[in-house]
Amino acid sequence: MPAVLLALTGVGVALNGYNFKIGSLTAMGPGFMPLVLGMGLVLLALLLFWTAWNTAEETVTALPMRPLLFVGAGMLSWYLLIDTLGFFPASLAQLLLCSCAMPQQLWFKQTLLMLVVAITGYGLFVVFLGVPVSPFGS
Amino acid sequence: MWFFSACLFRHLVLDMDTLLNLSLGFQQALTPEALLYCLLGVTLGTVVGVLPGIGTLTTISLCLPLTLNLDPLLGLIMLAGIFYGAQYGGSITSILLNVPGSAPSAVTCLDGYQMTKHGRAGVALFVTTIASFIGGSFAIVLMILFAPVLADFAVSFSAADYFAIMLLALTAASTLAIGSPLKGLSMVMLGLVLGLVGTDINSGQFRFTFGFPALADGINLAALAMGLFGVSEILTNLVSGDLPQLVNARITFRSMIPTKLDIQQFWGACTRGTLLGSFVGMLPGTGPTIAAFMAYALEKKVAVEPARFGRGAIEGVVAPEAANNASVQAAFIPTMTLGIPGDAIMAVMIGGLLIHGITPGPQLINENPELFWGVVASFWVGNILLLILNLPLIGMWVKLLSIPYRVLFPAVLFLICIGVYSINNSSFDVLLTFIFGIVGFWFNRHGFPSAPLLLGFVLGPMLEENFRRALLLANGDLLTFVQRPVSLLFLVITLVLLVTAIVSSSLLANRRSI
Repeated sequence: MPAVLLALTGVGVALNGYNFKIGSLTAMGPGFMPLVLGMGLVLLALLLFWTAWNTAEETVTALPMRPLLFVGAGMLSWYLLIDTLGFFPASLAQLLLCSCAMPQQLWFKQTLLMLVVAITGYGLFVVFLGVPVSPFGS
Repeated sequence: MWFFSACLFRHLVLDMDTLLNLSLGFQQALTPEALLYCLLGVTLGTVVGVLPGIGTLTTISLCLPLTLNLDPLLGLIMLAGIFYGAQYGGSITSILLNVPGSAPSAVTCLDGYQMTKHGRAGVALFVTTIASFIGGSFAIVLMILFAPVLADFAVSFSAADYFAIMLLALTAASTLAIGSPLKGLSMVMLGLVLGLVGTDINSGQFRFTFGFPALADGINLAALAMGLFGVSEILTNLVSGDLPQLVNARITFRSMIPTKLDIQQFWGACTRGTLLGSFVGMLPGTGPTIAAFMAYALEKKVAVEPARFGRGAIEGVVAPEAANNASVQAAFIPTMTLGIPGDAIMAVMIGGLLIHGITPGPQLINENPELFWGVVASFWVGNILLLILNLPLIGMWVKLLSIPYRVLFPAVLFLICIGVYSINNSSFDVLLTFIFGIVGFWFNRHGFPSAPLLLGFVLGPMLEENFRRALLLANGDLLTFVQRPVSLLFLVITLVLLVTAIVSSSLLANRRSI
């Protein structure tokens, strides 16, 4: 599966290289390196595919979705909320969602932790380092 | 040979210069601010080393924005302190929990944890700290002697030479890494492709920006590093459910005292580990993990009773720790004098200097002597601070191991978000971090290492620039790469590494199919 993805990426990069001037060895255009690297990636993907073909089949184990979903939701909420609702709503949403990535919540301890981390983060990055983010709202 | 003669000459004849430079360095490194940032760096490094699942590279990337408003010397002192401090801290977790706090400490688990099981945790912690200090200090001496000579030599390097050295660094990083060399090479290639994103410096055209203005300056290095290493590592830990267990250990001063036999076994292992680590550290594309594993293998080979290894042999703890600390310090030699990072962490260090408009390379020692010698002197200060932090204060680090992972990881993810955002005040970078986190997690799950990708990403633009320049100067004649001795030598080594890697992969594949 990774070999297929790498091969597709290689083909995409090489084809995209054609949108630019390729040039010559003396005066390379912006498309030269994408073309070379794309072809290199395809070649390596073929070698990987051949190696995988000759070795035992890869065992695919079931992927627990809970950590992926909650960590993903936490980081995406920070990305979506930071410029609209401000630092504290974005940070608290991220901390809350990420905490849910593990089962068996310790609600009191985790709420306390969220507040301490968010306030310390605000002090360090916004007050001390001057990162321009409003605490609430855009 | 040339190097050894040059170093000897330098040592015998120019020792006054070296002493003056060192004195300049100590003037810089012993200012209250420098001491404070050095202490901050080594303490943070030890914390990161002790706590499994955070990672040195993530922490260094996280601290990059903190250095934006700092003097470059103070920033580099802090970032370097995190790097070598983590090597000290990593061994504590390996010895007490059988869980490597950082990758280079993985091999220390083998005999370190056995020593703990035999009630010798105190001795194991004591000898690793002393071995780490000796390994680190020896490599610093090497840096003082070698770096200026290498820098003088590198002034005459052409674009073709630089291209060949970078090619070797990339090939070595992928083929010498633990795991499949082919997978490592693929990740290097992917890193080179990611390095293409942004504005082409010659034509001014946007490449692979897909209409996102935020990508015009290329992918943010910190977003890529924190995604590939920070987010991906946390996801791997959570998905595997293999989380570090709590520990309740008490280490007293009395328990740290080694026996006479321990001391006898210590010196040989420490010397071999230090020498091997220093040599490996200077090579491009290697790093402390390879140094530690090689030192362990060497000890087992030279041991009178190899069967003792894996059952609590003191040499199995001392040699890898001396080697990984020596390699960490020695890795600064090519990074600072050639501007070519040997591994992913060094690549981020270079990123930290570039943010301040300082380009590491042969001119750095002459143009910024305060920076270069200040950093070298700070290494010693940092190693002495680590000695203090790791021996009398060992109990504090042991207590740190009782912080539950469920409390730790949301806070680390929060720091990753705000850390990435603060570099360019861009929420788009946070999105990129998440995407790279998923990509890194997925590739790691299939056995593809992330470190070669990051090295490829950092070296990619430099590689392209030197390749173009070399061919422009040679009127497109590809023979220019084999006409210069330096470039020819590095290309031959690269070819040997490549062929060996491909042949060994094919043999392995054939053997498995049979």
